[in-house]
Amino acid sequence: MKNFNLFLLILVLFIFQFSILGVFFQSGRIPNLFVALVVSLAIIFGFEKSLPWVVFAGFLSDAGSTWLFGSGILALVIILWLIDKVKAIAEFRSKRYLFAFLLFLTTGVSSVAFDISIELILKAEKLFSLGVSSASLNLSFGTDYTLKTAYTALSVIAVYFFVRKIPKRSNIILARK
Amino acid sequence: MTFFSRKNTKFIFTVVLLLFIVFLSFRGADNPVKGTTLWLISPFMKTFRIFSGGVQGFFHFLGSIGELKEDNEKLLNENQNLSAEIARLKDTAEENKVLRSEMSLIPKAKYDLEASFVIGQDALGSGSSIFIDKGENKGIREGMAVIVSNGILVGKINQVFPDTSKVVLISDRESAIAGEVLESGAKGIIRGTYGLGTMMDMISQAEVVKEGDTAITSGLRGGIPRGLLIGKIGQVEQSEDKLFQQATIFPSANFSSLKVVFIVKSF
Repeated sequence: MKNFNLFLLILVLFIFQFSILGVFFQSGRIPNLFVALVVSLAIIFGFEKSLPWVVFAGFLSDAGSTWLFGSGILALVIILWLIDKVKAIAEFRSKRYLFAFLLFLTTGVSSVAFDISIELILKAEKLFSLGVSSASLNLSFGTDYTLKTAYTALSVIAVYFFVRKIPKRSNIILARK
Repeated sequence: MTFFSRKNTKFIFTVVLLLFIVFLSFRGADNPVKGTTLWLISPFMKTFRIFSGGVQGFFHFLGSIGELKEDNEKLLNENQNLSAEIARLKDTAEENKVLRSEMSLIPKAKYDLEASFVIGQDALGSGSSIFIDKGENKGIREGMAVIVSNGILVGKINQVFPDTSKVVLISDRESAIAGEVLESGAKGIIRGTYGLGTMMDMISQAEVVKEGDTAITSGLRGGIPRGLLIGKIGQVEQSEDKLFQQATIFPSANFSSLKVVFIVKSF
């Protein structure tokens, strides 16, 4: 039961992502909470401890999306690995404002990376299977996309706050700095 | 540190495995994993969607308190105008019945409709598809038209799971619906643009289409009956290759606040 809190958090994020945020945000500007989750997990727990949870989160994101099953998990795992490679961000935990800025930046860049990964997978799918409908995220870097990225970056505050609380409740050891 | 450290090996193994899954998986509604996951989670999605709709309504109400007096006066004026309008409409109702039969528009009462709650939307993609809480078990099939209460088309069924379905909205770029301009009879294809925009494309140069005209479904493609309202024509311009005209459409349905929709099962 020690990981139950994290399990619950991911389920809540799924409900927020697919059922609630769409009511409050204009379509195309809905923040990607799963990216915010992956960034938080990577910084707090590191790659290995986060991997099963990221796979679970990706699984849920794929269940609610149009793309091929596994695409979301793949994109999130790659992002997790890349963030884990850039460990420097964890060194700035004590410098609050710098850390917050780096957190926003990482989340924003990860959000774009996620969309590009999915778009590439969709393009690859289109190459192999002709006549596939809706095989595009319709990525256009306009106002909507900028706002979506900004909202995703901001959403990391809330997600990071909750993920940070989990180790204290579930005896999960934090990743080494 | 070697490249094949435990962490990197785990990563490579996971990526290869996932690539394999992606390669083998299929996007359609026959994907049992997707169907089962949605079946398990759809009651929660529905509850929270309805609840958040209520919360949004409450905040909207709070924000509009200041405008109530002004709105009240406006409504009183509107009420008077509408009373006059009702008298006029009674006269045209009979005329409308004749026109409807002439244009082979099916009276809305004849549609076999299935009411359904919107439980979520494809929030990670373009946002132009929604989930509803009715599926194969209620006789829903791929390609059926999805409307809101007044006979306004919002999209069509794209994927059907046992108890849920995915609806592609008419604002989706890949959606293509046969449309017609009510006033001139000009035919074209209605498709989505980026965001929540919609346009009518492939209108013959010989046709006259004016701003403010009404766009309806032409019923030329299966699954969607003729005469469903889509919206009002906006700006009309030449297509890039100058062979056709294209017009922006202001959809009559508000896609971002859909709560209940109706699936046209037969017509």
